[in-house]
Amino acid sequence: MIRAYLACDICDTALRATVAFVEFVAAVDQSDVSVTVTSASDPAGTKTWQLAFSGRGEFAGETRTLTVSVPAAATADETRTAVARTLRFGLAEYAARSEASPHLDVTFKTTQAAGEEPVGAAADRAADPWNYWVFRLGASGDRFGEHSQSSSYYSGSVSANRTTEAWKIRLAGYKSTSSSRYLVSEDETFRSKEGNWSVDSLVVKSLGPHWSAGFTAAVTSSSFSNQRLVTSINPAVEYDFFPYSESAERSLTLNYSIGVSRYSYSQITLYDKLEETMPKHVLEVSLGFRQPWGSAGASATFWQSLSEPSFNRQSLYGNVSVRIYKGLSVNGSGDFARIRDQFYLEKSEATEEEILLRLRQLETGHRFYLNFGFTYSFGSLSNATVNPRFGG
Amino acid sequence: MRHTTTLYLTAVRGFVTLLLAFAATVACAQGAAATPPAPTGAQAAAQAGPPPLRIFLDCQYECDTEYLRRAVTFVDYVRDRGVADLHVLVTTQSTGGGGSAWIVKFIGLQRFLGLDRTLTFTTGPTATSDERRREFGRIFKLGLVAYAADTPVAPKLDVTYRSPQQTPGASALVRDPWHRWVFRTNASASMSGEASTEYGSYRLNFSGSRVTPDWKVNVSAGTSYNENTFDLGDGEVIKSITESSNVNALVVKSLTGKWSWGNAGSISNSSFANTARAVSGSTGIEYDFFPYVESNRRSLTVTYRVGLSNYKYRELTVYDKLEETIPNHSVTVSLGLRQPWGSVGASSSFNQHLNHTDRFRSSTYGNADVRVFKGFSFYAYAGYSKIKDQVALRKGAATPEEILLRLEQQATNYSFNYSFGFSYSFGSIFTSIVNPRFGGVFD
Repeated sequence: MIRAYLACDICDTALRATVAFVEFVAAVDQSDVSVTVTSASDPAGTKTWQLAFSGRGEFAGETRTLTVSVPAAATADETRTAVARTLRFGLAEYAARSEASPHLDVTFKTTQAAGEEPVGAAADRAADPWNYWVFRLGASGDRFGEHSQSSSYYSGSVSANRTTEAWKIRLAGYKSTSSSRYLVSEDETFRSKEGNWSVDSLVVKSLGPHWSAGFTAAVTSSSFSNQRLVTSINPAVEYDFFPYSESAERSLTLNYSIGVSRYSYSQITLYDKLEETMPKHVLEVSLGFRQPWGSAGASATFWQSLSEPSFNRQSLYGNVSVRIYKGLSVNGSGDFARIRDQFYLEKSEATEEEILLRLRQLETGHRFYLNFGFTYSFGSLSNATVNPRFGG
Repeated sequence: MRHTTTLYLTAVRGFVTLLLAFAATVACAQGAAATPPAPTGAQAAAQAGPPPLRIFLDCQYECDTEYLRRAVTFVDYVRDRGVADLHVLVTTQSTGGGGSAWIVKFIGLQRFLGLDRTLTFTTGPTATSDERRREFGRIFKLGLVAYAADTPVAPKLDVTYRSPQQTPGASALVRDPWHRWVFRTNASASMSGEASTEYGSYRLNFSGSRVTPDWKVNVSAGTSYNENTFDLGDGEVIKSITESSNVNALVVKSLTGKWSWGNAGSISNSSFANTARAVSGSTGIEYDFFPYVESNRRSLTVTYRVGLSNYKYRELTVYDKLEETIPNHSVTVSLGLRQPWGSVGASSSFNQHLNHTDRFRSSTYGNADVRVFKGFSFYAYAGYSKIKDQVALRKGAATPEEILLRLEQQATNYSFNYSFGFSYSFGSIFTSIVNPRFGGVFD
């Protein structure tokens, strides 16, 4: 435990007992930290207590002065409570480096109701000249090359977001291009090029702790999917069976959207179209947990065209990461989709290179992804030594 | 021509729709924001003191920021160091037990300039993401509390202590029957597919290590297998397989605070590299210009190794060999810095065969991730290798499929790789609010 020396007139045994995570010593030269408590009063009678902390030994040079003011009308008990609390604040950072550390915590009493914005800080946010808007610009580029192959990828993005408890607004633009080159034989080079861009928006209004309503609207383009230009708007509602304020621990949401998309294609489609308009609706159920034993998530999505109900897609997704018992953890994720909505695919057959390099979306009735694994550790797991020598 | 016009009109309609929707919602949101919520009693009473502590939380990937914003609400989170009262810089390193050693540096800014503190803690190898974020949150709060002591929230804060008897599972470890050895085994499989393509990848790994300040011993073994199938139509199916296995050992002795002696050995095989069996051993010496104990913040090391490798090839090589033994040596210089302004790394290595000194490989790479000014950060990575040591290449030409699917190493005398990017943000500095609604659709 940290040994503290206290030079303080009002710090009696009872006050010292409220700081159980340090050991108080009688002489400054036996201490790891010394605290000198003094006070001064202003004409109005408000008394300001000053607590000067000064580290010694391994904490040498670590000094800090905290103050706490108590009004003239405060009782002796109220004064001692305020001084003792401030003493705990100042000593906590020393004790956090002693064997008492695992047993320490900081509590914060809020009057916050479920689903409300935390009242903790935020007092000066009313003066925010940007009114919660945050803008971002980004760009990146990537190149790789050697004698027989090379590839490059470039992207740029711009976004404007406004997040408050009542509203969430996201506007984003994105563009990327990628290309690659393969020297297939001495006199033959294969080149590929892909690109896509999008302008997306999401606007959500909070309607109480469980309900939200909003819409997404987007203009997108993707060479991979033969979609030269797709414009969509999708109003939606969402219900969370748990309050949204618990989303870091658990959520179970039901999201329903109904909207319309206008498609223009790069090449004539399987259904001999170059453009079409399609109303559709989507229902999605999502479940998420993050608990001390691990985390898990699952979702099910149903997508259907309203003008041609036979165009539809159902997908299931799940992931889990759990510690089964000391040392053994398992994780897995999987995704399965039944696909009946590829009305946008290009009519012509894909070439061998397009298939091998995944340059275009292929016709399929299903798509799956499955990943699972386990890790078992045993031995001296609590060894906290860090040894960075020779990497590894 | 008509087709282009229609497309254009569709695009214009789309944008107009979006703009209208945007304008409507902004107007709406502004209306909603124009009446800020009445301050609670606590806030109103506390207006006199300094404003809430503004934190710039600088984690690379270790922190669950959404959780922290919900769990630690007595401070304000801002997205730039320039407007913060306190910069919290978090770094992690692996421990001998396979867990993480966290170093949380509290760097005072503005009214706290010069008031820096560092707290450390460890999380075990099997801690779940929830346990890690909770433990980080607890230490984070303990470090913040003294800085927050003069802010309006102080009366509602307190430091609590549960004496060890009250804390479940806190029995001290008396002795270690494993003598600091830690073992880990991991297996994973991943598969995906649709009507005409299927991918499968399978891995198995085992590792054991014993880490003390004086010695580091790592042994590991692993094998991997990948199989992909492509149906090209008309009954033509391409199946590609790559596989590799390896056994590695590393033994490092700490000589002084700056010198180390290391020995490495490995046995491996790889279909990509045309090796049926490669056996290598090396011994070397490393010097860190900074003490190793500062390696989470800065290191500058020079390593020299000398070794011997024996190769058995799967197929005849371009030098008409099926087996050979190559003595070699290498020198590597590495720099790593993680500072409040960002991080920088650079490394240069030269590896040469001692029996054919014209066979060598020299590689250099550098990376930087730097906050240049308020809101603007820049990253760049660049690497270049000059390659004159491809003795294992298979003789004969590769098929187009082998080239497109990158199934085997191809001849080259260079390799480069670079990437760069920037991000600039401006606007409101506050990032404290969490709003998870419609997360599944967009985030």
